[in-house]
Amino acid sequence: MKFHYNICPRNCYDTCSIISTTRNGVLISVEGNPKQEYTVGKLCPKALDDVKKVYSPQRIRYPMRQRGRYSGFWERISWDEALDQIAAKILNLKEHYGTSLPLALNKYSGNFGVLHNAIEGLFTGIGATTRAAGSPCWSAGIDAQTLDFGTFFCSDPLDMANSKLIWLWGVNPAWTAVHQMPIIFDAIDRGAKVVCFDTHFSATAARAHQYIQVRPGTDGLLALGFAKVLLEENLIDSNLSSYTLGHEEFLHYLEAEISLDNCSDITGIAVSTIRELALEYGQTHPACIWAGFGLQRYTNGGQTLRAIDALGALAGHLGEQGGGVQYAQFETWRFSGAIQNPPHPINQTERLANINRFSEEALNYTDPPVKMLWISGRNPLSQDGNLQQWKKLISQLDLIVVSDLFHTKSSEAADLFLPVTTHYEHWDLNSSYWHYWVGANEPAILPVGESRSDLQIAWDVSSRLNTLKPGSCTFPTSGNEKETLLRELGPQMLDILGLKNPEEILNGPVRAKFPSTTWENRSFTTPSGHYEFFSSQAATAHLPPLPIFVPPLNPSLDAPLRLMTPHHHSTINSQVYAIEAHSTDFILHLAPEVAQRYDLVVGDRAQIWNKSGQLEVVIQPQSGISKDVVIIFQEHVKATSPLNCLIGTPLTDMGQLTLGGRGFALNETFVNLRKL
Amino acid sequence: MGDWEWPLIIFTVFGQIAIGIILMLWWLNRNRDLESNLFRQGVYVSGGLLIVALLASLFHLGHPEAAYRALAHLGSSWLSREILLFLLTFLAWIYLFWQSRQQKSSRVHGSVATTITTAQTAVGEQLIENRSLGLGITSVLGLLGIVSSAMIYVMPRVPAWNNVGPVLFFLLTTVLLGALCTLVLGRKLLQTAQKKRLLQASLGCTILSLLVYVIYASMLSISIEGSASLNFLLSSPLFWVRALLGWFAPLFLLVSMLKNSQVNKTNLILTVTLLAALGEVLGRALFYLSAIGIQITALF
Amino acid sequence: MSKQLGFLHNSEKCVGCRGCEIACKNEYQIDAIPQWRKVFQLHEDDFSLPTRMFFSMACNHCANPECLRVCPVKAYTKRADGIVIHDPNRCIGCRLCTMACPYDRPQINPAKRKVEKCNLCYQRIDKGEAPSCVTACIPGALELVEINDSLDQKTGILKTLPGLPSPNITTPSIRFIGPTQGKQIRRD
Repeated sequence: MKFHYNICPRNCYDTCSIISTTRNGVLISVEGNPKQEYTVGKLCPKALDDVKKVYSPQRIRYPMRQRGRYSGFWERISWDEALDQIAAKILNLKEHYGTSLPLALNKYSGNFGVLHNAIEGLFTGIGATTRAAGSPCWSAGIDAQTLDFGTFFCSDPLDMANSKLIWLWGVNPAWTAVHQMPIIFDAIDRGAKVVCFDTHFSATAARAHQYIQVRPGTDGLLALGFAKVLLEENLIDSNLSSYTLGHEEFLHYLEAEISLDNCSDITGIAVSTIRELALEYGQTHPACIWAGFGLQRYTNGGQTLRAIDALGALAGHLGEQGGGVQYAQFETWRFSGAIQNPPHPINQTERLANINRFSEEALNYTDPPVKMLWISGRNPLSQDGNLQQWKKLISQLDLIVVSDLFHTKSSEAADLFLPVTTHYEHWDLNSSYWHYWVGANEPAILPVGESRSDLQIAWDVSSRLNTLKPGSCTFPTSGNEKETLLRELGPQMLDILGLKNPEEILNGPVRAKFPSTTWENRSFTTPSGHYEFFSSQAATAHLPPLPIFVPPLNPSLDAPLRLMTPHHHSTINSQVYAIEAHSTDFILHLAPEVAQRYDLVVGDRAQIWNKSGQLEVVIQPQSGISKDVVIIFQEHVKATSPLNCLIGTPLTDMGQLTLGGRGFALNETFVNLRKL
Repeated sequence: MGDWEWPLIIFTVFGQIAIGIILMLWWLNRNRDLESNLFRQGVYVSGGLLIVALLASLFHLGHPEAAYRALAHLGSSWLSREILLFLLTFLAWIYLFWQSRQQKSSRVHGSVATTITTAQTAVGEQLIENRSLGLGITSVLGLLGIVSSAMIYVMPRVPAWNNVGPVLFFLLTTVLLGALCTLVLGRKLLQTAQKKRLLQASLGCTILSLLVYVIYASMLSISIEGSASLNFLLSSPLFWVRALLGWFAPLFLLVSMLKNSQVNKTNLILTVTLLAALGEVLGRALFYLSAIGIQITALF
Repeated sequence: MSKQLGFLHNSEKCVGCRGCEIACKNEYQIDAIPQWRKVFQLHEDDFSLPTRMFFSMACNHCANPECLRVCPVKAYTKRADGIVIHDPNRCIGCRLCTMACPYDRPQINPAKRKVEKCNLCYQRIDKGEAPSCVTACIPGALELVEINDSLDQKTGILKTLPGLPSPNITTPSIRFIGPTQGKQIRRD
């Protein structure tokens, strides 16, 4: 029996430290690493199912070529054949167009390990290419916090246990960050009160002392309403002038523009409730707000986050131990970046297409057009909006390469499938965007089948390119995964982790040496060094300089119901764990009153549609859902028509500043409903 | 909701017919005047049914090869007791079978001889006595086996079973089908009076069965699961087929046969037996299908 | 009264993640069916307000185990500490226990044609470890406890939850905490 350190690389708050057990080279079990203080030895069912995932019969073990896209006629080929075809196509396109811009890469968070950035490095090494830029996830919130604080940085999640009042706002940790739940329970045991704000009664809301159902997209206004009460009740931090900028302007805005009656009308929360909650928030110290990603998936998402930040600042909760406005962080990700930056001309500029409108923007490129697409760690045909444009783009492409573990909706359109390794089969380096732990991931077993790590694939493609045409790619043609990993720990990262040399990371996960509470000394990294109620950066970006309320999109007569598609506990986006029984029906959760309005009862088949597409669903009335919302959780459903056929590409207001592209306003999707 | 338990349907119904036939033979032999051929035929047919029943029961098991282990828990398991009693019944049947062979050989011997000695008469009487004893022992063991069978299903988890219903149903099946099958076997050998008694027994069982069922059904509605069983039954076409075949048609035929002195009409005997048997098989299938247990009703 | 081990399930802490189910499957390498342990969501109609409450249930190691009573092959035994153990070596797959258990916890393994169920990780308990489901539970909703009067006398300890069969049938060795419902402020 041998034990190895692994880290769950899923796009998840928890990024758990794992100890895997192998016997005779076979992975036999996984458990949480008890030394990592956030994982505390426990894993969620997704990670617990990893052994089955690694050895799943459905896993693709060999490079495959599809004879005809969507045909499903896949034939096994050798790596040599696959690499030859890829390298030849790259060189051919480069020669034909005189530039490497026809090559496009669409990569995101299928595996958040740092060494997976090798694919980016490969593309950089080839030349200027077309890239999917930005994030489908957290963009608006990140920009909002960057405008307010200078960067987005959350406290150590363990700090939440010190809170006396926890507001869980648009976040459902019971399903998406389950390791936070014992910390919240710990706070409850110490007497904290928990209030959950969400558009629907979630598993987390059920655990809270109080649940507040907010009209979708109006959370920002609700925060401003609370702020107005703080102002009226004189519950504003008296030291604001010492560490904030523009609070007078903001207070003036509250005074002049925010009326509680109006706020109540729009948010759907009674004035008395707004007052009560605001008083509690203003009077309780420490009080913490956890603002979830769900809040900001609206066209006004950035403003919403800014309003919530402002509320926290106004009440003096910033920098408070057990307080603050928590969103996410990227401070433990200060890796050297060597892997994605092979030698390349300084003036090499990539063509950046917003990842959330990738197909549309890629189709708009004509000089030169996009001709080859590599999809890595992504499943756009299951997750992106505007599928018609995707279909169009696909028909324009000469070659589509998908590297993945399993066939996906996206690989249905691929020409080549490259089998990749799981985190039990390669070296990697992982950080969380929530907690402070960083660790190395060791290979526990040899690659299953002929699968290769993304890093190995990048080396192999570069090697083939250089064989066919020497000097055609500056990415390394071979190397050592472990050494590549250690090179990512540059001086800055070593300092953050308190390590003397990179090898120390191999001894187990390490907590970054940040204090547990962010902004404790209330010195911020904004241009002014203060918390910025008034942001000139925002003004420069043609955004309102103050956090104000901008209404979200409204339903129309054609599509009167807002469709929400939140995460399910059994999946992370299109990633599922194997054991889950796969349904062939999408379940539409809706308020019993809405079901009645459409003459529907539980189990009925119905159709939801909008101008993007249509979907057959099975009805599941559920109290706790408001009357203007219908919900399909992102469960794994084996259906011909995917859920995203209903989704367009509405963008959030922010995201450009930090991530180079505005976010995905997924919650601004509207549908109509009819009984079948 | 239960399943189509074919092995159990065959085991219980066939086993009950077999024991019913033996029981009827015992009753017919109460004056030690059972026709020898009928005795032999009855023993053979009941034995055949019993063997089929026992074999069928094995198919209910995941591991038939280990069926012998089922005797291990006589202390509290009615299934263990059932198996033991059925095996003992089968042993008793072997004794009856041996008896029927003895009888045959002594008869062959007797027909050759022109005179019957006193000794031979004594042997013959002893044989008849043994036969009666054998029938009696087999019947009692068999009936105990049937009661044990029924007791298996008397479990608090299943309100539809957790009552006197299973025992009554199983015993009524035994007498009803036992009487009718014996009638079929003895259609040429039985006297009209005996046939009449058997038909009356069948009619009695059918009426009783219907009455018991009505009472049983009204009892079911007390519990939620019982009501669910009842709803299932009343809305199942199978139940109405069973009612027609097993209760109303036989009732009509039996009454008309007895009223119009048609007790010797072989066709009618065959028809009523077939209908009643089908009715009982369907009834037994429904017995398993309608078993709705108390269970966790939270959402999955 | 002799010792009786059992589970204490805190429905206020259970978030329905099903980690316990998978941990159980991992420990014993069991297929998708049977499910020794299963997480159930409480029915909304049983409460005055919307709920999203769960409980996790495996074999309840009942004080009066019906499975043990009906089993013809003595595959079930009850240990001195109250654990009801099913021995698959003795089982002949008659399925009577699956009919008798109101919790549907002994289940037939279609591949093996034998019944299986939770044995409360007795081999771990004998080594002083907790059952794997308890170890795996992230929010700490599942505990191994001794079921006795002093436990039952504590406030907030429930013998059953809405949607569960009456405990009178088998006297299950499971206790519950909660759920209590928070204040819910809905729009409109």
